[in-house]
Amino acid sequence: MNTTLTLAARNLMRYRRRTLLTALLITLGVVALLLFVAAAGSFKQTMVGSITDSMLGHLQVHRKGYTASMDNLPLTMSLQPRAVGLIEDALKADPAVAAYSKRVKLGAMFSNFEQNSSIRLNGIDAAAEDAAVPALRQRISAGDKTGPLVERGKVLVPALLAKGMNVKVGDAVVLVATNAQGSVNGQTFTVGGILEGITGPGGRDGYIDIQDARELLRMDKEEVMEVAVRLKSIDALPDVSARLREVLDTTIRNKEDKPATELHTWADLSPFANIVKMIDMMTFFIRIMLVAIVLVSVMNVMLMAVYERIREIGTLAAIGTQPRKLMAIFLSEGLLLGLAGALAGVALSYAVVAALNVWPVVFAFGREQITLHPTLAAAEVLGVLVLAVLVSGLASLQPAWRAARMNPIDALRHV
Amino acid sequence: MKFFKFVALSALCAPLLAFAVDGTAILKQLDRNLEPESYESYRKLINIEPNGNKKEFVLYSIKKGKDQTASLFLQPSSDKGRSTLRQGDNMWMYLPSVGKPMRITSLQSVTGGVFNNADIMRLDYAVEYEVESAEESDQHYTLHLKARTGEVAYDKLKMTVDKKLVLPIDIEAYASSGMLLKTLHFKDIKDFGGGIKRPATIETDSPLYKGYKSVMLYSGLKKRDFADEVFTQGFMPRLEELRK
Amino acid sequence: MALIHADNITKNYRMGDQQVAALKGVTFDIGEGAFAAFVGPSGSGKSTLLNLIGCLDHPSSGTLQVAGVDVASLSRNAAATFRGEHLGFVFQDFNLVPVLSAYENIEYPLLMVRGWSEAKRREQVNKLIDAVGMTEQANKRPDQLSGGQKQRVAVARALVGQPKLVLADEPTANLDHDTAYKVLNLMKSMRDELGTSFIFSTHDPKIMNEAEQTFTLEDGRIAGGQS
Repeated sequence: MNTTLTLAARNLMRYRRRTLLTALLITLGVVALLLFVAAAGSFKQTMVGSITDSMLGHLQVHRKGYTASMDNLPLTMSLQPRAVGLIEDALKADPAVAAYSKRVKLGAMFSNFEQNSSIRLNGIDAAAEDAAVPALRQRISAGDKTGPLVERGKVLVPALLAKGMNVKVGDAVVLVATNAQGSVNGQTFTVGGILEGITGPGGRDGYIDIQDARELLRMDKEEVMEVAVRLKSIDALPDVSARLREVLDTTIRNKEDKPATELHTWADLSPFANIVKMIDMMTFFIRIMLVAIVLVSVMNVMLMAVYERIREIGTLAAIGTQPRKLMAIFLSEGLLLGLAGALAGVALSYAVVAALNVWPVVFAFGREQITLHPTLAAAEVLGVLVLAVLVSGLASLQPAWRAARMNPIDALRHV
Repeated sequence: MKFFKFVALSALCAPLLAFAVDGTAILKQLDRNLEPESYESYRKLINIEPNGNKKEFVLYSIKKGKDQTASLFLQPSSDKGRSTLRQGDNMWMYLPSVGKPMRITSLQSVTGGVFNNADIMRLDYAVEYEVESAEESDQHYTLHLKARTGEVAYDKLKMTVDKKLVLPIDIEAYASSGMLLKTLHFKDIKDFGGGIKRPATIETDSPLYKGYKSVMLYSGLKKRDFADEVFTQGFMPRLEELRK
Repeated sequence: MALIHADNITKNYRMGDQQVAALKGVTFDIGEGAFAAFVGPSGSGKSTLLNLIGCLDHPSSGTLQVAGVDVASLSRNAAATFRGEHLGFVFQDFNLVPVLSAYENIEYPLLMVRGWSEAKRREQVNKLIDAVGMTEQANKRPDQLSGGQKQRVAVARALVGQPKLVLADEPTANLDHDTAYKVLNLMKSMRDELGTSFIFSTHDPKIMNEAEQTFTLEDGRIAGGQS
């Protein structure tokens, strides 16, 4: 085997420029794929993290039918206290759940006495919300960033609204809401903080204390519109959501004995999930392109190599080399070529990724600034290496087979 | 011979020309027939949803002069004490729980439903609109009104007026694009005393709120004078005093 | 028992739509330690015969035994094994592997065909590289060697596996006269030392004379007999 590899290496080096060029092509393909995966991965992770850690949580539970009208912030489709209790029981019982937060969601009129605008509000329990979406407080751009998210009588105002209505921390504002019965209630609030926006639904919501929200809506029962759940690890999401959905569907049922709640993962609720799908699809296509590059370039080189060495092949066959040995010689050559190009590509990718972590690339997405922190997962790199080598082998298969099948006499006669 | 025909025709037309429709005069009279310039009124507003649900409000409203009006919510109890004030183009809302009036706009609605603030706190039509053209038929006048300024809620109105009573039957309200925003139907002529005889019911519907209907029912309408201070932001919490 | 026993061998080829009879019935025996030449003009069938003896092809009819083995019916893989164990080849164009050194070229059969251990290989290769006088050039690549040197390496390669028989198709055709003689003498002395039979084909009369046995082929048959 050692000799076969030595032969392969030496034969590759015999036509140095051709080998280098082909290897370079493979290197570039590998680099393109790995860098894209690293950058896209970083982007996805940042965005998903931002969405799940500072706004949506990993999954949410609503009363059945709520999400269909979610944009209108309906007040008539809330979870009743009994259902809320059962949901809490289910969440507490599941070891994968790290925290959860109950939210009263409403639309209101936001007035600074001179002008008014509409605002989407979440009534929250500050401590629970902090545990369920720990990155929310990082979005606070003005006001108390270390204390509780909200307090009674205070409101976290979205930055865009604060700017448009010209309010700052400490200002008095009025929140006026129409409740389910159609009656209007208003309260003065103090601006407790300004909240930076984030892409996606819910990204421009304001936050008040849940008791204030209930008072504003004249809610006499402890109803809840939404329960946001945080898991200990986002990787457990598919399993946990299936599990919880099962539990909730069986324990909380309505008069027609059908499930009365609905459970959605963040991906179900955020349009960003589609962007994630698109990115994954693009990765897939780039991978295919890499396969094509490796396949074509290696096959091309190996076909030429076999043709150039027809007489040599005849000689080796004549002096007793078994056909499978001949095949191995050429197969190794192709594999080595692919491996060399891929390894160079991997090394170059690591170098570029390291450079990108020293001089980070920052770009704007929507109204946010995203800094890329690309990383290369060992599994991904290994996968690409294996892919490159496999495809090189595949590409060399036919030329090597032809070499093995050659008739020595005809081969020896060849010019 | 031709000349004679001309003279004869002109002579016949003359009486008609002398009686050409004066739209502005009709509008002014319509305004006064609906309400005295300064008055107080009691109204019930009913908002009807497509599924049959009803929401009702009872309002006490006052008006002074050309462009000052205020309303006080009497019912439901959850809204008691809420008041609105209009001075010219400016509107405010006062909530007892808030304690200080907030500015609102005429196209919003403090009650929800198809009526908006401009409908509830209405000024004289002649103050906000001018007559572009007027037509006459057997039973009706048809007036085409155009908003005097950009702040007026509706760009154009088409009024069908009862010729004999000089009271509106129908008003169609249009946006500047020509889109129909809502239609107001005036019904049930009633004598409110003090020489005021006018429709007690106004129904409205809108192609923009399919299935929704709102109804305004007048139960009291009386001429009354007020001091100027009544129509200020400071007086809004005290409007109840006027009912004594 | 003769090393090579051929009985009425024929070989037919198809060239386009023509059937060509390259050998029309050849019978002979060659013993061990022979130094024989097949002579004849091009197209006489000498290369064909060499190929048949070298187990690179099958006769169309007739019996052919090499080293006691009926080689007429060997499968492709079996033929390769047989060649690896019992035969050596020397070519007109030397046919050394360009990327291997002289030493490695000689070593090749032991390594890639016979699978000998490192120590055994080293001993044998050094012995032969010495025998052909190429010790100084052991690490040179073929493109750094002269024609004569290359052929000497080729001879060493042919002999390294201790074959019974070495087949050389026009081994001196690309060498100048002096070098040709040198190579031939080398082959003869190898035969003397190791007892390996050599059969070479040639159309050069001067080279012919070096042979101890001559088979003249004419139009697919052997003319005359052993000399």
